[in-house]
Amino acid sequence: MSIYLDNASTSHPKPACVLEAMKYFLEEIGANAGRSAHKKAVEASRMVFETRELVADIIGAENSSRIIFLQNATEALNTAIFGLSLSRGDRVITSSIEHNAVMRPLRFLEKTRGIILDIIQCNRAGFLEADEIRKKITARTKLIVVNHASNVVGTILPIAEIGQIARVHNIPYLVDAAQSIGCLPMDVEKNFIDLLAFSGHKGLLGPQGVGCLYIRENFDLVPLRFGGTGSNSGSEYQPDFLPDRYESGTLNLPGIAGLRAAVKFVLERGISNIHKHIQNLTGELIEQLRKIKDIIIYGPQHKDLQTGVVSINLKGMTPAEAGEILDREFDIAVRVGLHCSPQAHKTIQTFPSGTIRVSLGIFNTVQDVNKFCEALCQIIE
Amino acid sequence: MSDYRIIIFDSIHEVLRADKFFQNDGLKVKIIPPPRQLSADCGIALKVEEDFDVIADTLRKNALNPAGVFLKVGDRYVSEIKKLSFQGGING
Repeated sequence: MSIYLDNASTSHPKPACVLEAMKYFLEEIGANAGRSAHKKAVEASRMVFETRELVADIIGAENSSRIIFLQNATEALNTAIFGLSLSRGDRVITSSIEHNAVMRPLRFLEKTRGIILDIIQCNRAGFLEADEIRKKITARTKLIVVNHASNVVGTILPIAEIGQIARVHNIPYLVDAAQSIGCLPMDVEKNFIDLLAFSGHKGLLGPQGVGCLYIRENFDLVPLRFGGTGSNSGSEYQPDFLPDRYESGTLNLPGIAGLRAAVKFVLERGISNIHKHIQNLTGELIEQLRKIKDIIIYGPQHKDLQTGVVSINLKGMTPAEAGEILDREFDIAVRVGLHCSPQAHKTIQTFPSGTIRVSLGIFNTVQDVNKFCEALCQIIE
Repeated sequence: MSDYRIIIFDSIHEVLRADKFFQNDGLKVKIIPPPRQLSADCGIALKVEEDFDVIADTLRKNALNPAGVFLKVGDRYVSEIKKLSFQGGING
C-alpha cells in the first residue's frame, strides 16, 4: 500500500463526495455560470454562489461577493500584488520564508518598476517577530505580505499581530494561506487581513484548478484579467462590482463544484478537529524522528508551532537520493528539493540541496507515520 | 394573477443572494429572464409576488442594493426604486 505524505503539494486522496459532485456537474448541469437565464445556467450560477458562501464561511468573511475564484493561489497572489499598482520607490515588507508565488512577482516588480523590498530575516526555525516588521515601516511602505505557514518547515507566523501593525499604519496586508487553509482556523477580521490568497486543492480538499482571493470591503485592485463577465455586456469597460470585476472568462466550473463538496466535507469534519488530528500526527512524527540517529530535523519541531509540514535530511545522503529510495523501495511519496522556496531554504541553511519534506493530511494515520520512520531507519542502516 | 414585482441587480451574485434571503423570509420568489421592456445587465432577474413593504424589508435587512424594482401594472412596469430610501449597497 502506498503512503502519501505530500499533502503540502496537493492533498490526496480527495473525499468521494468531491468526485461525485464533479461528475454530477458535468453530467447533469454542464452549462456555463453567469451567462444565460435557462434552468441549467441558473443552476450552475447557483452552484458557484453556494461555493462562494461556503468559502466565505471558512475564512470568516461577511460578504461572499468578496471571494474571487481564480486558477490557483499563485494567480490569487499575482492578482493582489500586481493589482496594487506599485510604482518606483514604493516599499514592500515580506519575510525570508516566502514561496516563489510571492517572491517572483515581487522580484519582477523590483526589477521592472523599481519597488524596494524589505525582507525580514526569519530565524533558522522560520520564525519572525511581528515587531521586526513594525521597525521596517516607512511612509513609502505600500504592502506587507507574509505566509500564514511555511511550505518548507510548516512554521506558523504571527499573522494577527502583523495584521494589527499593518492596520494601525493603514498598509495593505496580504496573507498567503496556501498551506494553512483548511488545516488551521482562519478569520480575516480577527487577523486584520485585507487580502487573503489560498488554494482549493490543499487543505480544503478540492480538485486542482481553483484558487481563491478574498478582497476586503472597500479595497480595490486593478484586475489582472479583463474580459467578458456575463454582466454589463453592453459596456466595453470592466464592471466595478465584485466578484465579476476579477472573474473575466469562464470559470473552472467542475472544479468549483468539487470544491463546494470538499468545503462542505471540511466544515462537517470541523477545522478544529482536522487541526487536532494533523497536530497529533505531527507531534508523533517529530518524536519518532528525534529518536533516529543521523537525521537532521528543521523548523520549529513542535506540533503547536507548525502545520503538518516537517523538513528533514539524512546525513550522508542527498534529499533526492532519499526520496528516490522512499518511493522505489517503500512506496512512500514525499517531496524533495527546494519546494519553490529558495529564500526559505537559505533561511534554514539547506540551500541549494534542499530537504526531504514530509507533509501530513487529514487522511494520514499513525500507521503512516510509523511506516515512514521505519523506512528511514532501514535506509540509514 | 396577483401583482408582482421585478427586481434587478447588477450581478448574478446579488440576484442569488437576494433569492436566498427572500426564500429564507418565506416570500414567493422566482428567478426569471428579465422581461424585454426592462434591461438587466446580468441577464437574470427576480420575480417576487409580494407587497412592496415586505420586499423592502428583506432588502433593507440584508443590505441588498437593487438596480431596479418594478411593479407590473397592466402591460407596463412602474419603477419603485425611489421608494427604497436607504443607502449602503454592498456592490463594492
